[in-house]
Amino acid sequence: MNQPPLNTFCGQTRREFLWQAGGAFTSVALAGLLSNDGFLQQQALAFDGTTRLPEGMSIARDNPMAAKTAMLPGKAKSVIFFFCYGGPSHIDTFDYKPDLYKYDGQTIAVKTKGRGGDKSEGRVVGPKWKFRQYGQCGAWVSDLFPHVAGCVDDISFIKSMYADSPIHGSAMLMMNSGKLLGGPSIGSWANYGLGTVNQNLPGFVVMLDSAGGPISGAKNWSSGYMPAMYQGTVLRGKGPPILDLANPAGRSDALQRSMLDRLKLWNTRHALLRSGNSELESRIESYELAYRMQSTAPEAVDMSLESKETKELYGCDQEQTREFGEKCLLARRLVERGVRFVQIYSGGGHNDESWDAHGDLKSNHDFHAGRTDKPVAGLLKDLKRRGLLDETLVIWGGEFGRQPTAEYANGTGRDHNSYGFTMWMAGGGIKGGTSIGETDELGATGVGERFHVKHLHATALACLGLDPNHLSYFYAGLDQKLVGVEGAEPIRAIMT
Amino acid sequence: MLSEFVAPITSIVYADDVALSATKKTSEATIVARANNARDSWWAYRALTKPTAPTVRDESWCRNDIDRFILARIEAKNLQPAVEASREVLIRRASLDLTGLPPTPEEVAAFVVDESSLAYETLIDRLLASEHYGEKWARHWLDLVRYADTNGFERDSEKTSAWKYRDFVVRSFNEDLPYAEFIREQLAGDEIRGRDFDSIVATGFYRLGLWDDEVPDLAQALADDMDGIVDTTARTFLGISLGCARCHDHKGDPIRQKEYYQFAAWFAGVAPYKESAFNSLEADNVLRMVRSDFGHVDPEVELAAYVATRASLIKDIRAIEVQAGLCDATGFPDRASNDALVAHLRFEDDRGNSAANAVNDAPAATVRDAGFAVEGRIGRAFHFDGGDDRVEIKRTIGDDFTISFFMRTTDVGGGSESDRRWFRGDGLVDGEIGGITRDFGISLIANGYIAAGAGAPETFLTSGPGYNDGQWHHVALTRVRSSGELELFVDGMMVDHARGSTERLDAPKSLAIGAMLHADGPFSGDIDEVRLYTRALPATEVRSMALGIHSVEFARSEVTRVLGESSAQTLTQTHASLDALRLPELEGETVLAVREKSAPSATHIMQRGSPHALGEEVQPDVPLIAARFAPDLAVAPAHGESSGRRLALANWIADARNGLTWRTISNRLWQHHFNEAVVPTPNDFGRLGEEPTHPELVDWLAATLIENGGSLKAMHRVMMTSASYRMSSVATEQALSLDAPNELLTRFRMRRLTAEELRDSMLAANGTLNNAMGGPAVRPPLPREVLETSSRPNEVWPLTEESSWTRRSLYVMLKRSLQMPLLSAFDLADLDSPCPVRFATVVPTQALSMINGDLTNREAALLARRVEREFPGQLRQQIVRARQLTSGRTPSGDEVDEAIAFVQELQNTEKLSPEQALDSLCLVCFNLNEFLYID
Repeated sequence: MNQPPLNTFCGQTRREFLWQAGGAFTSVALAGLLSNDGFLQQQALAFDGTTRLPEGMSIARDNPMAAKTAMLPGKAKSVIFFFCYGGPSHIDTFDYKPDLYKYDGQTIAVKTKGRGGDKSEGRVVGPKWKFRQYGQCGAWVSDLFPHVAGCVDDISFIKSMYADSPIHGSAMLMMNSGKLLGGPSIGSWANYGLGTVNQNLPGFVVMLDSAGGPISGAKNWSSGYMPAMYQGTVLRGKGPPILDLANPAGRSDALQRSMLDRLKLWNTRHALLRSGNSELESRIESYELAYRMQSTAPEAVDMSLESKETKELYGCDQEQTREFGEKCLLARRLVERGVRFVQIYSGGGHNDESWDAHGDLKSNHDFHAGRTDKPVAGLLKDLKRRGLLDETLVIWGGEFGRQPTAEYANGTGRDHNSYGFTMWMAGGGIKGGTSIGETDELGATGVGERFHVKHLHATALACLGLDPNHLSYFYAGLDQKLVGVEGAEPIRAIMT
Repeated sequence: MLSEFVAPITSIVYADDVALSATKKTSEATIVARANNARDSWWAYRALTKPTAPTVRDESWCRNDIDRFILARIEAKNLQPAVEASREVLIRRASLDLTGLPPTPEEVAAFVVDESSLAYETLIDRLLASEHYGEKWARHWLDLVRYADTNGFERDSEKTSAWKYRDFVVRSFNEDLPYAEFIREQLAGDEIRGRDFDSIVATGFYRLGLWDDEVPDLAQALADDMDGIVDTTARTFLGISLGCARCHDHKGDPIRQKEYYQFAAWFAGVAPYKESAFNSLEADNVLRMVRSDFGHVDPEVELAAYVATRASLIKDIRAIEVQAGLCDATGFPDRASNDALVAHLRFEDDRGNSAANAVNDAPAATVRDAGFAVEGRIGRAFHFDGGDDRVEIKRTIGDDFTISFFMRTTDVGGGSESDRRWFRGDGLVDGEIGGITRDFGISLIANGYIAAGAGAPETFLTSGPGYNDGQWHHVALTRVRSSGELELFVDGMMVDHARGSTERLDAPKSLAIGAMLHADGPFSGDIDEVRLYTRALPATEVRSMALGIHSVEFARSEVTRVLGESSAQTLTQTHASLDALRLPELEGETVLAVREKSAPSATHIMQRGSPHALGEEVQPDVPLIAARFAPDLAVAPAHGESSGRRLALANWIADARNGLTWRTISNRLWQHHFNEAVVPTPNDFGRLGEEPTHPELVDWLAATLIENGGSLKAMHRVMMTSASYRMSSVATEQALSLDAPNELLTRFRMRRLTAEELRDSMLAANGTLNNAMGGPAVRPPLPREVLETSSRPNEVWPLTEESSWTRRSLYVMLKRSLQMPLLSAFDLADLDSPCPVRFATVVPTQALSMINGDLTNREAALLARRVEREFPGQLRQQIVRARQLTSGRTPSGDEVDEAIAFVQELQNTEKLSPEQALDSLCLVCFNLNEFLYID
């Protein structure tokens, strides 16, 4: 713990740093425009009044969103995070509990805590799908995920995950930001730490389910106390991918260009009389950048450029998998273009629109797994054959798992379980074909070495070459970290 | 001079927690010594005295002492301050700074030609007197206290009446409430002498944070809520980053972890959200009912006056009736109406073991245990011994109805004063069925309250206390099914009303008298003349029944016949006075406010910040670094509702001897006028913050604020009339090279419009701004794409009425899970934590929303329509006007020529209509830096 970071602060004073980082913060993606002038100095200190050097980071002098050298050698350049909102059942997917079948219907003593409060016994619901072994590693996977099962030699399972909340609202915020109350999300931290290599696309992209957003909406991809440039941008598969990206109806490109030219002319004249205030120049440039985004972003999401074979690999040709398949394919196109962090939600809205199977486990999980299995596997395969898997970290999981016992007197529904659940990682920095941690014979709680959400976050950051215990943002008098002030170690055993 | 404190406390800076806890044991004495030392050495903690302004070479430049502090440092670098800004620049700068709105072109024109020597001072006074001043400055305050209209998390429900707190802040600024009072009202508005409606609303301060109504760990949630209060209070009022000492000793300042909990102990009486079933919490404790005239009128005095007036009117009426031979001196015979009467139990059996129904053919009541007859209100009455005694009668009412009876008791009653729901009481006439169902009843609650209610949805009514006084009292409950309206009368006075179910109330098969229907809640006392009607009796009939006086219609002819017209007239007038008499408003309106537990809980240190690892108990105290004097603890309010702890703290913070308080607010005022605070970290005056660029200036401002009685308006005037504020933002070559960061304030600092100013300025420019003030938050239309990020896209943002869509941005709902995209793009404050300084980012998505967004395009088109309307057919005038409305400046002839050429070019090459071309020009105007930035 507390290894010295590789890149340090180069002897700048804190005020110098503030000037640069802060000045730069005001002017994302405008490399080279900023200089040491008065206006910047003002902004440097004004952006939150207390921010100072993120310990152990090297920051590009001019642009906080410019790609930065990682703190440590890292394998992954990008992350794709499949967020199975609602809480998929680990014991029906990847955590094989043979004993659970035979207890089906029996009431046994087991401590659980979920939406319905604390319970000390319950009626076991046996897993509703068969498990089989796959790959050279022999990992057990249920029939819910036959396609993902074909990729297990690239996957590492973490089967003794635990979280601080079995309630959706706070658990979602914890999985995204490490805190029950919310804060900068993991995608914000990745961009804060590494910047983005493509200034024409957002560095942190979120794709939502057609059923709607998750509980707490935009707070899940918020940048919290960091500037808004680090927050997730919602990207849509249909229509203009980003809010206000397209010209309003009826405005030709030529008209847009005429207006922007006129704007530039008048703004430049205005700035000339106010030399020394380079924020004005930054804003002039921001319109040019926006204009470039208008052509770049649609190209990035243009599926017509993909082959039929590729589309089929993702299941874009089938009704059931089309929506999620297109998102997965889009995710690949985005990371190819340098987008740092892509989060894709499976499930939205409430109840059975998400993985939140309180009533009928069978129909719920058949529906959600059926929509996502082939696309997720397609993405892993496509990344791999293109040589991108080594530099793309893929994360799969929900905000918690589900209980081995039934929630109600009748039916197969399971309540939430934050005591033990499974998540998996694959790709850049991850040792495939491995598994770590386990739950008890019922899958009710992690036993032995358990891994908290912050360990998952630490591992993701480490795969990106960021030291989770030194990637910090000074706010409210504290060096805030994604993994909390007390820190957390990455799960080295599953890392290459 | 700062040696001891400034020496880095290396042993605890960035040490890990193990090292820290070891350090803590050995270094507590050291931290205490450092804190004691810091109190006299660190600039922020020193005693506040008013420094003398430095002498300057160019005294002629200085308009007040502020300028001497600023100029001295400029001169020390052999630089000169910038020239004075133009009138056009000054009025736009001052208007936006004080009101958040641009000046109208007319205001600019008038100011530019105003030759009065006090033209500028008059302008400042006019702006300070504007109601928009409070709207602008409230927003700065709301950023600090993390104001939001909703609670966050899964339901992200609305905070009931949070907007009343927002309106309180607006009013306080507009009325120039002295800053000490502003502090005291927010922290202890319920405890101060002279408390009133506003001061109770002010305590909504405690309820603004995130709130999860379904928590994984209750103790943790309550500790987090408390942390929000502790940290926000310490930062906002004192500039101390106390929150950093929650888990361990502070890493920068000599503040022990213990001191965090001592500070938390001031709030240990605050009732937190109320625990409920499973993991959920309820909002009960955070709401209060308060009368709008609370504090100005003593409700007890008012009520006593009402009772006395009423008694005297009744006495007058009865005297006339007795004289006319209509009744005896006690008000009898009873002349209650028989219209729609379905049951009447007179309890005249002298053995008390049967209860005949005086209504012909109606079912008799069953006596379940032998009572015995006593002398009744009329004839005999039934006595219930508090044991098994009860009478049951078939429930023949359910739609519109009235239940009427007399009762007399000295018994305490069931339930408790804090839970006066009728089904907890001792049954008078009751049909309670367990669960939420269509039942109803009337009971006696502890300390003599009469309670009534109905189920599905549960609806409760209650009288005041004290009806267990051994006297006969008349009780009536009326119900109108169509409206669900229930009214409870005691002694002919309506004491409560509520709106409940509009279903038929038919759950109970029978009604119990003298006990609850379900066999508990036995009543001890006498009951007489139980009547059931299948109609809701009007108040006048209930009154006649209760008091034995006749309706005026009935009595008038007899009085005229016996006593003559003059007595009849007196009778009519007295009845009219009685009808006009209204029970004083007892409850008032719901406000978000603080409420205390019966006694403060013990406060313990939480080891490593964990509520599950409690350590030593601590008592309220203030941080040692700031403890120049001790709080006066002997201030518990006479009303006894609270402990007085918060008042003690509020008094200590607001004390003129507390330099931190006055430095903190003065620095904030400076920050928003000069666009960087003198202390650039306004929420942290400690070692982890930045030191002031002009240390003595902070003290001078703070001392001047105190001299001015805490008047913030006085300080705005002082700052804004300085030569420093009036400087141009254009830098000289020399200043750019020697003072590039503008630390010395060699010229004015430009700033971008805030998110709210940006939207409000567009609405003001096109003339659609709705200036209505206050009230619940509004929800203008949002793009569908934005709604779809919510888990409830169709319910998350119900639109408010159309006229509200152009209200000022201050009033747009701040929902934690969903925000107006234009506002969040332009760096709205984070709603979850205190925001002392807003970001001012430049990102391409801002450009996208400004050039392509629905909102800006719509507002630009409306601007175009406005100028066309004002100058029909005169393109040149339209363009001049559009530029004036957006920049506050009249464009030069060349600029206008250029704009005309642009508009014509769009028509020729892009084939736009003249209207569309003008729309495009107006959109460009809204995107100009001249519009977005203030010189």
